[in-house]
Amino acid sequence: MSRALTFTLLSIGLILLFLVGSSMGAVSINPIQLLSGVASATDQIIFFELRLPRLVMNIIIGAGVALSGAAIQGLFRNALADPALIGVSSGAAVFAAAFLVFGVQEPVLRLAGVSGSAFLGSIVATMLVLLVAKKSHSTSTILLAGIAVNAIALSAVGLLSYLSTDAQLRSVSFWALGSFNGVTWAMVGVAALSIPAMILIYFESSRLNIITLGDREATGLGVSVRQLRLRLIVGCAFIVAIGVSQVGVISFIGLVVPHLVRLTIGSNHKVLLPASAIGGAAIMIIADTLCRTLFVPNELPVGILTALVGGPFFIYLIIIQKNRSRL
Amino acid sequence: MTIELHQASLQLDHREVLSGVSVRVEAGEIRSVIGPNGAGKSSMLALLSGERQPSAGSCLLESKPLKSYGIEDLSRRLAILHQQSSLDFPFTVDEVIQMGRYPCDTSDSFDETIVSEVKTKLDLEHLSDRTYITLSGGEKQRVQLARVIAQLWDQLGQAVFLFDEPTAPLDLTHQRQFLQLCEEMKLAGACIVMVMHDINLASRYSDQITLLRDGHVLADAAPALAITESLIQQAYQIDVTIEDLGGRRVLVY
Repeated sequence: MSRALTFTLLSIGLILLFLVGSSMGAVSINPIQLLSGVASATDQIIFFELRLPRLVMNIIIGAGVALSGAAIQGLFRNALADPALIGVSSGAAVFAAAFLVFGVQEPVLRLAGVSGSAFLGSIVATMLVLLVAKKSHSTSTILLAGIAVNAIALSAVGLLSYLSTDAQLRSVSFWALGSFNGVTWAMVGVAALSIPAMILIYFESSRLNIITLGDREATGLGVSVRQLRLRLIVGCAFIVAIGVSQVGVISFIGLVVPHLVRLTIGSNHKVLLPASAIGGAAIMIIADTLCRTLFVPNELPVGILTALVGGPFFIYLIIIQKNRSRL
Repeated sequence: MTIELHQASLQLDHREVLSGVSVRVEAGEIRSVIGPNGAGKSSMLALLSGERQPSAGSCLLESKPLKSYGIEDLSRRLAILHQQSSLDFPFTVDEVIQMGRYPCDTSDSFDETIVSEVKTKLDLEHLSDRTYITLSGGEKQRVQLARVIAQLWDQLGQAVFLFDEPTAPLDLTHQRQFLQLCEEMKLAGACIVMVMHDINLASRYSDQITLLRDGHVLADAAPALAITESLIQQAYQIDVTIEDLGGRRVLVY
């Protein structure tokens, strides 16, 4: 498929999904009626105060997670890498759990709230990964440091769960599943802070292309690998941390979407990054709309759906790719 | 461009892999570095490319210490092909070769011309739109060679090329094609250093040969003087004879 065609199709798809998503829900709203001003006041409130911020949030989070996934996969030269590798999600989980279990007594966490705590945790964990790998010249050390930090974080969450009451445990696990329920314009405003970071990462596309050749090759082409790595990791950590702090952990989109895009239009990051962002936004809308509408009036946490569908789909991708490379 | 090592030593893991190596490669020269496995050939390229700093002695590019060049500066004068590339993403052949033009501040259309010229030289035109990861080992090597050559193709008079075993995965036709391209670049003023295993191929196309063993220079001379029965026996510990085949000296073992 040509690139122009892919972008056109992706963009049209995103707009259509936006329209469909905005009309669907516990109450159906016709967006055309709404724009021509014939909709009822209730419909207007549902649309502008509940549904629209939620859809915009879907787009920002989906785009951010998928774009970070694409960048992290390029940086680690591994199509199976995920932003979670640099500790972002697990760090957020520890701090969010700490807030939910001890938050009320602990002054710093209490001030930060669950979102602020999660953001803080993401940044702390990523810094820890970078600190462990600081002296190293190799990308694989960062991977190992990430695995170690993730393992420590997981056990910390386990310990916190052990110490928690049943009600606290329920809120910890609910938070870890991710949900767009109750998104407000204020939350969208916070999430929008990640957009400049996305743009900065896009400016690294040609260097991302080069780093896939290998660290030594990139150095030979005049790219400072350590600086690039730092910029990318900090940028992606910021994007994912902001997302996690607002809607919890959304798994598999950062892994599956870039992978899928790479299979259709190749690896050139100048195209891969924006196409992943659009694709991530589209899939986020689909997933969240399903979560809102499948079991009305109840809602499914979106992280469950993305993992439930994303996991098997990813296995399928691995299998067809294996076959392809054997040819 | 000239590049030289002056009494350079290199220690890795408390082991001296190069000891007091001095070589000087001139502009318009092809130099082959030969020697048994572990003799220090790739380490020598690592010093010449600035990837590693000598633990003693120095490395000079145009008589200035290599480390005085920034990595961007260096990438506009020196291009290196490493033994194996880890590229495992579906880029097209054209995209991979184009990456070689990253350090250059030239226009996209100029870069495209360079990419297509280099492709012609290495018989890659028919592979332009193929995906790199689906290519055979020899085809991948030619693409990587094209990327490295494209990096300095528009300024061969001011270029140092370092190739680590460039011909190893290539078939006979493409070995010859690549070495003829090296001769062409040499005539344009390029300085070329390559690690070779095929001694006959090296002696046929090189102006100078550096023979290494255990991190020491055994010989550093024109092929006729560096490739002798006694030196090769000393370096590789096998019996060899050198025969004259129609005016061409051939090593038989």
